[in-house]
Parts: sequence; C-alpha cells; structure tokens
Amino acid sequence: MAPSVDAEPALRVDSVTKQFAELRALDEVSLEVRPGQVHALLGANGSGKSTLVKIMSGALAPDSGAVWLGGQRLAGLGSPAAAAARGIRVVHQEAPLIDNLTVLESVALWRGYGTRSLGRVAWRALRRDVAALLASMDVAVSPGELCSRVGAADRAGIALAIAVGDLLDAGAGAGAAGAGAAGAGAAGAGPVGTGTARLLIVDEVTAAIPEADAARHLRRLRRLADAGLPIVMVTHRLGELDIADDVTVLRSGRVVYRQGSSARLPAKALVQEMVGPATLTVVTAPAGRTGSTENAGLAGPGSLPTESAGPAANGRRHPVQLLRAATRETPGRRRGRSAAAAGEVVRLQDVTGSQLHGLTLTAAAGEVVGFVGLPQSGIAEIPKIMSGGAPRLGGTVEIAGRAIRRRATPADMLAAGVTTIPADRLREGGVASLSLSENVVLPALHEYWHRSALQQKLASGVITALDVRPRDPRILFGALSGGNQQKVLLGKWLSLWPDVLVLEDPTYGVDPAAREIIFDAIADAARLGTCILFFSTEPEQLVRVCTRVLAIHDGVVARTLSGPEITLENVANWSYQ
Amino acid sequence: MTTSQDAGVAASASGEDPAGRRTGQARFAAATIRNYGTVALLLALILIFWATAPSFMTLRNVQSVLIIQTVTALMTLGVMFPLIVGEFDLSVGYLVGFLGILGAYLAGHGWGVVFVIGSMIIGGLLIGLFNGVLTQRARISSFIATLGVGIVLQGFTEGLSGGQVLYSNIPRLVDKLGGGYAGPLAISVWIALGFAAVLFYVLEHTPLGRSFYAVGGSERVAFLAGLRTARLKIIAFGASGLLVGIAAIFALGQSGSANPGFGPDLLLPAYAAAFLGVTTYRAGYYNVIGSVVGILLLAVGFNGLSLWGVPFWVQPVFNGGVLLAAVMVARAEARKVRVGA
Repeated sequence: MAPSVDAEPALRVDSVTKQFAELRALDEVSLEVRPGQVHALLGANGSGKSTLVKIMSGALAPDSGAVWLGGQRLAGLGSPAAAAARGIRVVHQEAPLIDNLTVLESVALWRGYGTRSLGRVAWRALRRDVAALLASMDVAVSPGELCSRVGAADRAGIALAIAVGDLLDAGAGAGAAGAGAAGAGAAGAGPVGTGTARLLIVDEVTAAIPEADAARHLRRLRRLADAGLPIVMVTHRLGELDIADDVTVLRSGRVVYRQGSSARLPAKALVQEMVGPATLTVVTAPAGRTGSTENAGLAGPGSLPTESAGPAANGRRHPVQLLRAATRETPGRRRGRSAAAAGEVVRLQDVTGSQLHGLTLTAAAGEVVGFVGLPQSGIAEIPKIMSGGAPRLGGTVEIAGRAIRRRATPADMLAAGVTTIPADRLREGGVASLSLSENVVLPALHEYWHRSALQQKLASGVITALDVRPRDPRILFGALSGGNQQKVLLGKWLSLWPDVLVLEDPTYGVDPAAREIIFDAIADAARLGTCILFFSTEPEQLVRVCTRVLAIHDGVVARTLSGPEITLENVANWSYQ
Repeated sequence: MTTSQDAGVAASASGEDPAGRRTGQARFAAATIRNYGTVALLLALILIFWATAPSFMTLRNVQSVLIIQTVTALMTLGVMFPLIVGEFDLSVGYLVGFLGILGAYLAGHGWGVVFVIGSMIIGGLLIGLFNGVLTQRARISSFIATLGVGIVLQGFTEGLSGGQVLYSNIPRLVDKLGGGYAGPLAISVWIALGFAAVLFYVLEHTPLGRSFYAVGGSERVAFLAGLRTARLKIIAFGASGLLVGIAAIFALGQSGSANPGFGPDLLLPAYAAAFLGVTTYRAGYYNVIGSVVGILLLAVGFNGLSLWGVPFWVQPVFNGGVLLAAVMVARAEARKVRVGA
C-alpha cells in the first residue's frame, strides 16, 4: 500500500468505481501520486486506463469514490477549461497545434497573446517568450516554423510546453500570460494554459514518437517532476518505466499491481500482470455467453481454457463455406483464383516506408500470420501498404507470384486478390449512409447494374453465413451494431474469394457473440486457402488464431514465433516492448 | 503525395509570421517571390497598358477604375471573414442587391438619410448575424444556409421593388458617399481604404483577428484552447453582412438608383478577389492586403482590356484564367508545406 513518505500525496484517487451500462470500467481503483513523482499507469487496451484519466481530469464523474487534488475534492468539473482552472493539465497523444499556423501562434492561442496599446499583439515580446518557453522545454524549433512542418517529437515537446511550460522557467511566458485573459477579450473565455499547474497527466504521448526521440521527451517529463510537479504517465512501453517512481497496473478495471515503496517487478512480470494469469487461458467465451468486449476486457471469470487455439476450429461453424455456396453465382468473385494460388501467396522483400526499414516476409495460402509490435515499430504501415493506402518507398511486394507496382492503388491490390478490413470501420470500411446490400456489392458495383436479384442473393448470403442481425438487407449500414457492421464488411470481402485477407483489429468494438463468428470466419477462410494477415493489439487473439506471429521492431521482423512459441507470454512481451 | 522528407525545406514555404522575421536569406527570397508574385503581375499589367493604351494612365481613368471597384472591394473584405473561419457566405450578392433596394425604398417613402443609411448598415449586420446563427446554432452547412437566405432575400428584393428600378428621392449624402470626391480620390475609395486598414490591423495584429485564423485552422483545437468558436464564427458572418451594407450604400450612391437585378453578379468577383488574395502577402491565408491586390489586379485587367477594345467575352476569360492560375500556384505551395509534416 501507500509508502510512508514525508510528502502528502498531491493526487489521491480513492476507491473509484465507474460503471457504463453492463460494463464496470473501474472497480474500486485507488492510486496516489506524490509531488515530484512520475507515476506510470500501465494496462492493456480496455483495462480502464482511459476512463481513469477522464476521471482524474474531471471529464467524467465517478459513480462512487473520490479524487482529491492537493487536499481538495474534485467534483463537478465537467469541462477541460474547468479542470485546467484547477491546475490539471492533460497532454494527449495528439498535440493541440493548428497545422497551418506557426508554432508561435499555436502556443499563443493556448497561453495568450500579450497585447499593447490599441489591442495590438506584442509580437516581439511574444516571440521572445515563446522562444524562451520552447528552449526551457528543450524543443529546438523556431517559433516562426509552421506547425505542420514540426516533427512528432517536437510536437510532443510543444504540447508539454503549452501545458506546463512556465514551471521550468518562471520568467518565460509570464509577459504573454499576464495579458492573456484580456487579450482573448471579446473572443473567448481566456486561454487554458495559464495559471499554475498542479497535476500533469500524459496520455501515451510517446506512442507517435520514434524511439530514439522518445528518450528526450521522457527527460522533459523527468525534469518537470523534479521541479515538483506530480505526473501521471499512461503508457504502453515498458522501457519508459525507467523514469517512473511508482507503477500501477490496471487490468479489467482493477488495480492488479501497485509498486508503492517496494522494489518494482521486472518487466516480464509486469506484462504478466497486464495480460492476466500466466496459464494459456484464452479469452474465448462461447458465443452468447459473457466474455470480453473491447472496452471491458473482462478476462477473468468468463474465460475458458482452450486446448486448440489453432485455425482448424473443429466442430465450429463454417461461415465462409456457407458464404461461398451462397455466392457461387454472384459476379465479382475471383473465380478459381483461390485454388490456383496455393503455396506462397504473399512475399514482401526489403519493403521500406516511413517507419519500415526493410521488411521481409512470406506467407502461404491457408496461413494465419499475426503481427505484434508497438505503434511506432512500423507495424501500422504494413496494412496500409498491403491495401494500397500508402505507397512503399522501396522493396518489392509480390502477391501470388505477381509483382505489385510501387504506387499501387487500392484497386490494384483488390485486383491482385488482397482485401483489407481496416481498423476504422466507419471511415474506411463501410458507407454508413448506404444500405447493407449496397455496401456488400460496392467492390463489384458495375456487375450488379440492373441485377437486383443477384444483389439480393449476395446480401442474403452474407446475412445467413455470418448471422447478421437484423436480417434485413435494406437496413442502413450505419444503423447496425459494431459487431454486425464488421460481419457485413467481412462478408463483403470474403464473397470476392480473396487470396489474401488483411485484418486490422477486426474485433475492435465488437460484442462477444459477433467476435466468435468473426473468429470462425477467419479460421474457415484460412481452411479454404485464404492467406490471412492479422493485426491486433490484443495478444490473446493472436495466440488464438495465428499459425505464426511476427514481432515487428524498428521496422523489421525482429522475431518469428511459431508453434509452441506462440504463447500469451511471448506475444505479450513482444507487444509491449 | 510526395514523400521526400526534407527536400526543399530551405526553399519552400517558411513559417512566415506577422512580425515579418525570416530565418534565412534564401528562404526570404523565395518567400518574397512567392508572396508578391501577384504584385509583380499587377505592375506588369499596369506597365503594359500604360505603354499600349494612351488613355490608361490618365487621372480620369485611374479614378474611374478605383471608384468602380469600391463595391466589390467591400464585398471582398466581407466574404474574407467567413472564409478565414472556414465557412462560405453565398448570400452577399443577393444581400447587396436587397440592401440597395431597401435603402431606395425607404428613401422613396420619405425616410430621412440617417434612417436610410442606418437601416442599410444595421440590416446587413443583422442578416449576417442571422447567417451565422443558422450555421452555428441550427447547424446548417454555411453553403446551404447562406444560399437559402440569399434566395429569400432575392424574393424580398423583387417584392420591395415591384420589379421596378427605384430612383426617387435618393438622399444627397448617399450620392456623395458613393460618387463624390475628396481630393484626388473618391470618398468611397477613401472609406474602402480606411476599412482595409482597420481590418488589416484587426486581423493581423490583434488577438481577436488571430483567433479567427485559429478557428479556421482547427476549430477543435481552438475550442479546446478556450475560444468560443461558434461565437467567433457568428461574428465573422456579422462582419460580412456589415461590410456588404456599406457596399450597398456605395452602389446606391454611384448609380443613383437601385435595380432589382443588381447584386448576384458581384458574388463571383468578390470571391475571386479573396481567393487571389490567398496568393499574396501571407501565402496560404486569406488576408486584407492580398485581397486588395487581387481586386486591383482584376480591375486593371478589366480596364486595360476594355481600352484595347477586345471583344466583350475576353473579360470573363481573363478574370477566370487569372484566378485559376494564381490558385494553382498557391496550391502547389500548400502541398509543399504539407510534405514537411
């Protein structure tokens, strides 16, 4: 429990519970941060970290329990401005900069423009103050630089300078800040970034920063803490714990590890705490029973051990077989190609991109290849390249023996037999304002011109095979639940009989029953010869469906896990470091 | 999209700010060429017409070129505000016509000059604010809301005028404001210059002006930073309406009458000048100086070509061509900026 330290805790979270409908996001969570401490908050996706951050920053009110900041109870804040007035500063992954304005003006927007007579902005003083502020935060960017031209590491530094910059250099920004409230005058409620910071919450701010630059950013945090500021650092990266004084691990809304004054667990053990009991218990509640939803991550009681986590999935539904039977006559599918493309289907050789540095891999028909890695490892670029969403800078890509040109478009990749289900369903996956059946025929629209019977057949095939609810082909895609949207997208692409199916977090925001159907479909598609590339931030899922897992680190395949090596522990280790 | 990372950093768009400092010699040169390309084009046109059209550089011609542009100039300054905050005001053409008819109607029914002028200005302001409320409170896209308001206004224009040109009893002061001279320039030109100067100051050098640009750049960030973004946008629409009200007074005074068909044709020139302005002074941003240069460029081109006696259809071809060319150059620059991200 709480160590006996001389200082009173600056922030005290006292048995906070938060319930969202069925889901208990936080369950009796307590946490203390002392002045000058960096307190790292760890947890897998859906562990309740974000909810806790929202409660600590006053954006959400807890159902029970309380948050105390410097001896005062936080209540009824409700807005970022109100929280800021209490001295709470939250820095998110996305820096709050306006891309087409200069750094100078983006900072001034938050910290205030100082004005002189006639309401004129004191440009010279402002420039001097901002330059001093940036220097104090170790950001080597000219105030006159356009924000869109500033790199990720410096953007993070500027975000920090906006939030708490005056802490390190009391002189800097004082001039601008002083006149700030008057400066915004007629326009607004006054800048947020002024006043004294009493708590800093950084929410995965290093996720977008290349590893080499992240260290500099962490040093900034450390210096702020050393100046006496309590910091809560939400992170995915275990490497960042070096600068932390204290560590709390959340799992399924509960505190499962609290370092306190004892010696910290080694990194591997922390991962273990994040993902749950060490046994190979996979989160697979049978369809219809309680399992985990993405945001809940309730791994505990509902989970059952499974003997075979392989793709065979004996005795299960065969959605893809059903779908193929139903859509045998529909146009658009790639007749006979799947059978022809036996053996090695995907071959990437020395592929480079903005984060990839020579990725080489092959994948065969019927394989389910999983990918793990931190967001900045370049892993996010692979599905983009495979879907034609981003060009590769170098290297070669071959699909079923055919070379793909460097600036391939999505249409090229589709023609080559590669289909992708993106993570962002509503923006990149389906068209919310079109009906289910119109969504399903989109990839081969011209084939369905004046052939509504065929369109009907395909739509009902998808509905039956993947058990889409409600069973109405005319329902708007946007009106479907997340799980059913995903089933429709899966059906849309699988009805084309693709050689390669790329899945990006396919169960994100999907209910447990739909999740099971999606996994059945994945297993069945693989059984019928589709090569599947599976990207997921949940190690359990990779362990469950993959025949091989590639760990991406620093833009290359750092490690291949196969067969018995695919354990939750191994996969989780590679996901978080 | 190109992916070259640092190529041309030195040569391409700089973080030029209102304080006007530069970070390098080469950058400064490039910025100068880029930011003042339209000024060079304007000077070139002036020289060409001066040399080829004898009556071009006469006091009389210059005076008439300028006075003709005051209505468009104020409308351009007006539409700039919604453009800066990321919205469109398509009602300005109908609004200037409506306010002209409104003023003439009130004057024809015996109202005094103060009431006539006041109702034109206040009417413009209120209709502008109404546009803002429609887009911000009722959440209708500004494109549609202002188009709808414009069409309604056109109906009122027809109704008030009965389809007739109104010319009786236009106040002398209105005539004077629109067409009178004070020194070498028309009073309306002086007033337009005054407005340009004040708006330049407000937009470039006050926190209020800078917050308009912030809202246009990212409404979400501006909101999170504590700006009342909806209110700022409504103010922008109000400013647009107010300036159109002034433009309507000039139009009424210059022609001495109000024609119900007048107005809608001015929408496109006003936007053309504002878009041209994006290529000048502060490349990539709607700005006052750029807009003024844009107005002059179109005006000089129009005038010079008429003096040459080119067929009437060459005018719109020239105007549209200049606009497209300038905006294409500006887009190329904008793309360069984005690559650095």
